[in-house]
Amino acid sequence: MTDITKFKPNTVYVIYIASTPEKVWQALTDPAFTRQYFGGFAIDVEPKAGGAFFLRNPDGSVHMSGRVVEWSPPRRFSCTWTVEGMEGFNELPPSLVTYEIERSGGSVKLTMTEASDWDVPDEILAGGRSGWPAILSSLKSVLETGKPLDVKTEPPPGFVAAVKKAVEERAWLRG
Amino acid sequence: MGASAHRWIDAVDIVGTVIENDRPRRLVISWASPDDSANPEKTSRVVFDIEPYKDDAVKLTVTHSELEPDSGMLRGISAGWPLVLSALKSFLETGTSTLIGATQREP
Repeated sequence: MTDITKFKPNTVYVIYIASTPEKVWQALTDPAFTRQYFGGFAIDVEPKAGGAFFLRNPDGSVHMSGRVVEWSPPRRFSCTWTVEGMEGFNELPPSLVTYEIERSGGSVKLTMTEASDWDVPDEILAGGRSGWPAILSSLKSVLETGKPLDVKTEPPPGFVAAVKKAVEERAWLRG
Repeated sequence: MGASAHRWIDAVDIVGTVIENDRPRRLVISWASPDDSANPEKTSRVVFDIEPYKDDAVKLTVTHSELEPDSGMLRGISAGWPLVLSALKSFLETGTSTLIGATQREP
């Protein structure tokens, strides 16, 4: 099992949503919601710490897999992520994604933190840093207007090459 | 180019100068507390980049740089921008925003 005490945050995104913690929790953990705003992926999660976690393509195949680290509705959901749907990516060490949901006045503050236990190259971090704002902006639109944004994100330039290089060099074993 | 001042919530006044105005793609302003407006060390810089995104969306990137490490201004804007930009998005998409009034300032 992954030792999460060694993980350090590398990407944090905060967004405020005119909604309730329960609805934000549902939007993050219900496949009917994630399909709308999360690149068409359906979440498939066993609702307990240690449970299996997947993001599935429309045909049911696995895009992302992981394990639930914390399942505390409606406040905190944390799990490991390994990209399965792109060749070579599943050789990278998993990252740790945590959603924190807090009441803020009459609204909700959602904080997404992505963390790693190795020195991830900027070109790889750029993938999440361009993807998360689009995904979470679309989630906010779904909850506030009932309609997602048209945001299918593409990997930024240099991303695929950087992953390939890190895998070849086993970059996470350095130091 | 020209000086401007904008009042933000009740207690905070920010003053600055328009550095670049390339409507509707890019706006660059300087940013300081009124007491610090003559001090370049305490004057930071905010860039708004606006790009069309797919057919009917916009990607807004806010880059706030040249901030003093460990300053109150850095802490303030770090808590403030996500709130202000979330409220901006709600306002444009729904015509109202309860987010600003509803949220207490963070220390």
